[in-house]
Amino acid sequence: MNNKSQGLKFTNKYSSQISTILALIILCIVLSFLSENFLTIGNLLTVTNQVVYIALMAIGMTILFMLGAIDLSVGAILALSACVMGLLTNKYGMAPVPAILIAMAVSLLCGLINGLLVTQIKLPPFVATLGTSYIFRGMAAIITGAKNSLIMPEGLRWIAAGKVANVFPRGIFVLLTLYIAAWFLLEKTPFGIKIKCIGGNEKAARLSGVEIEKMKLRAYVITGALCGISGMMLAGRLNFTNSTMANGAELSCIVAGVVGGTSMNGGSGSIWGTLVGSLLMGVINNGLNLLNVSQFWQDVAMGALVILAVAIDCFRQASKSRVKRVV
Amino acid sequence: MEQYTNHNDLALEVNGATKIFGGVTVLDHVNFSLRKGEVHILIGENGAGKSTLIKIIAGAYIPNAGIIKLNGETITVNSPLEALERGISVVYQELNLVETLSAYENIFMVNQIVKKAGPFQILDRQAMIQRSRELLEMIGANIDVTIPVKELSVAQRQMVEIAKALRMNSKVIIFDEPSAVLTDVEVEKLFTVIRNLKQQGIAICYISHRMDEIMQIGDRVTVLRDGKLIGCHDIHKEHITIDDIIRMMVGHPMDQQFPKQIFERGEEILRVKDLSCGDLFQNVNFSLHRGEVLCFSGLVGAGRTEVAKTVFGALQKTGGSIYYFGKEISPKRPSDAIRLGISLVPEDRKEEGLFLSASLYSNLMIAAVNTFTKYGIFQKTKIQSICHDISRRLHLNTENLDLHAENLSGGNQQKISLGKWLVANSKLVIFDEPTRGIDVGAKVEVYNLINKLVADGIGVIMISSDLPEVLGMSDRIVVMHEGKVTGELLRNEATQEKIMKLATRREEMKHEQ
Repeated sequence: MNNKSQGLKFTNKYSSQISTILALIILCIVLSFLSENFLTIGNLLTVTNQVVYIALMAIGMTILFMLGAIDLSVGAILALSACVMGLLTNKYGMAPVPAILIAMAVSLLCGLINGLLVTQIKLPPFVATLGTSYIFRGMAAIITGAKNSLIMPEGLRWIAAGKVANVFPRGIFVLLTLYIAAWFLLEKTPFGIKIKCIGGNEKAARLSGVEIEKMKLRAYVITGALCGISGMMLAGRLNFTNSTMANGAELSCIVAGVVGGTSMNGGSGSIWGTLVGSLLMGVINNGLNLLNVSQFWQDVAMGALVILAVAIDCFRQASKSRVKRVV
Repeated sequence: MEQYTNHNDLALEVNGATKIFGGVTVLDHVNFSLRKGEVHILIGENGAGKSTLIKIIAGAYIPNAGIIKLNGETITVNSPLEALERGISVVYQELNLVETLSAYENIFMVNQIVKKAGPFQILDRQAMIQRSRELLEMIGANIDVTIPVKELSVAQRQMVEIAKALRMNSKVIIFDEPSAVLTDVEVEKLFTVIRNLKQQGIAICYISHRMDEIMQIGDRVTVLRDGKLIGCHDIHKEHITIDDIIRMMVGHPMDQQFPKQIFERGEEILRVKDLSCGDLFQNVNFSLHRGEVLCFSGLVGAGRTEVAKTVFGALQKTGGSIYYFGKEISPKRPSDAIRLGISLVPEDRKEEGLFLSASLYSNLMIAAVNTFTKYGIFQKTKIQSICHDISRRLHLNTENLDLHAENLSGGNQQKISLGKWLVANSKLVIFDEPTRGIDVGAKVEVYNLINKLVADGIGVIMISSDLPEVLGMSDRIVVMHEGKVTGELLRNEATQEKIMKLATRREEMKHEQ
């Protein structure tokens, strides 16, 4: 195979991500002219650190999108696991490590419940996770009595809010590590191909010997675990936990995935697109903050972003389908 | 009053139709005409430009050049609805019906009958039901028009589609491979309907891959190849044979339609004893030996696919036993059967066989994806060497396995659907309608692949509704009717008549009398 076709392959494979990256670059250039505070290393790193918790959960959401599924309970799982940790360390004085481990176990269990509802009781993912999102957040409010836990373990503060050499937030390293791990899982192991094949054609995947229930269950458990990690990171950065934290985060995760070029219909997608999508959201919020635009207009901008991103993708798909059969 | 008797009266004329997609000319100055009251066969291999031509006539594509004349008058059709309103209907292979709606609601999808109710106009459902019944009676179809279309058989749905065309007073009806989804008996019924439509002066364009149909139903035949018009011939006046048509289609003479090779019969691969699955099929017995092709024949719905799916673990048996290389097996799910080396190339490759938006690598690897890893991580060199080796064995005419499966022609898609089982080292391959909807050239390639599998000692079971194919490629034939095996025939004793008798159980009824 010659170099030219290799090059073509790369642009084809990431064609829907390239437009998102371009949008991010253009936006950064525009914002750097509008606000002199924007294009500083400190600000850019802060922006990135702020989207860490969304970007982590969005990994799970992307995997579920590739499967043709969805999880609307990610924000609730985050809140529940963070509240469990906050409660154990603050109210019961438990040591940080076992408290975090228990919180992580709770997030895994939440993912498992979602997975079982979808695979065993055969509920549609949208309905199942909509239901559990209320249950998980309700549980978080019940166990905390809707009160805040205000003192977070030192270790969590160190990793989630601390900076290497006083410049690089450690959260970004956590983010990159998990994205590389997810990329490896999806591109270099059978897991990714199986997930995409189920999302592409579930019937054919079953007849090709893919164990669909097992894969779906795994995807939900992974998503649950990512929500747990994300909860610890957010708790560490904010230095408190309560049952309303990360409210509406599931929608941000959906935006990150969709803007990043992953189709909600399943069968395709890229983890890097989701990372760029998360960053794009962070940059828009930050830029509008720096320009003193009100929060209400920021919501309008976010909505426009989603519609624009998907519209571009639709045009791209339509033009692609006009290309004649190759063989 | 129009004169339908004049056969030279052109209903539709297409002159110099040209269509270019992204720099590729898929249709190159093609002329095509339809006379009133004729059946004009349009034939060509996949990618020859048949569907492009049809879509231009139906208003789905706008041609880059060329004119369309309807009853001698030049028209431009910019949308399918416009074409429909001018009296051009297409009965697509993938029928365009809303499955959850009833037949009459589908027939009256546009321009519903309304009645006045005070200041409002409301739907006159009774009138629509009545009219739908009349239309279906006209074509001799007895269908309950009020039940959802999804409860109708494919043949019945086709009749609904035809009724839809008649209701729009269509003067031109285009059939896009209607017989591909029908059994022989149903095809006969369809032909009766088509002859009836012909009598009424309707111009019919019929697309098919089945050679025997051309002689049965066609008046004229137009052959396309690589987007160009190769020839248009009158079947009755000129002396055209199937061989001539095949030669025009592929561009060179074809040696044999069925390149059957006979091998020595070896050890037993599969034996099925009294196998039952609920009310789908009961007490099925057969065996398959190394070196032979076992064919399952019968009408659609006879339970052939279900038997295959039970052996493959996609359906659960309710009785009987399956012996594989002498050992009893009971696969609970397809992955169990695949682990044993049993594979199924499904009937509907797009629905059940392929991942259209995934690369050919993924499509080939999926059934044995764990074997490409070392410590759970993919080995790129192993993937490339095995997949390219298989693609060469399949004579896939592309080296680029990063292509998506949707970009392949039907024949190549079928090869990929089979290829994943070669990658998985299957010992038994069950083909369900292996050549449905693929062109003559690709069919022969599939037959050659079947020969090669048998030569390599792989057991082959083939389910087919195409009788010439069954007679041409099998060593033994099991015939099923309504969930039961009605007979088994050897290659040298089988004829179309004998198979049809067993498939419809006419034989047995004679005995009873």
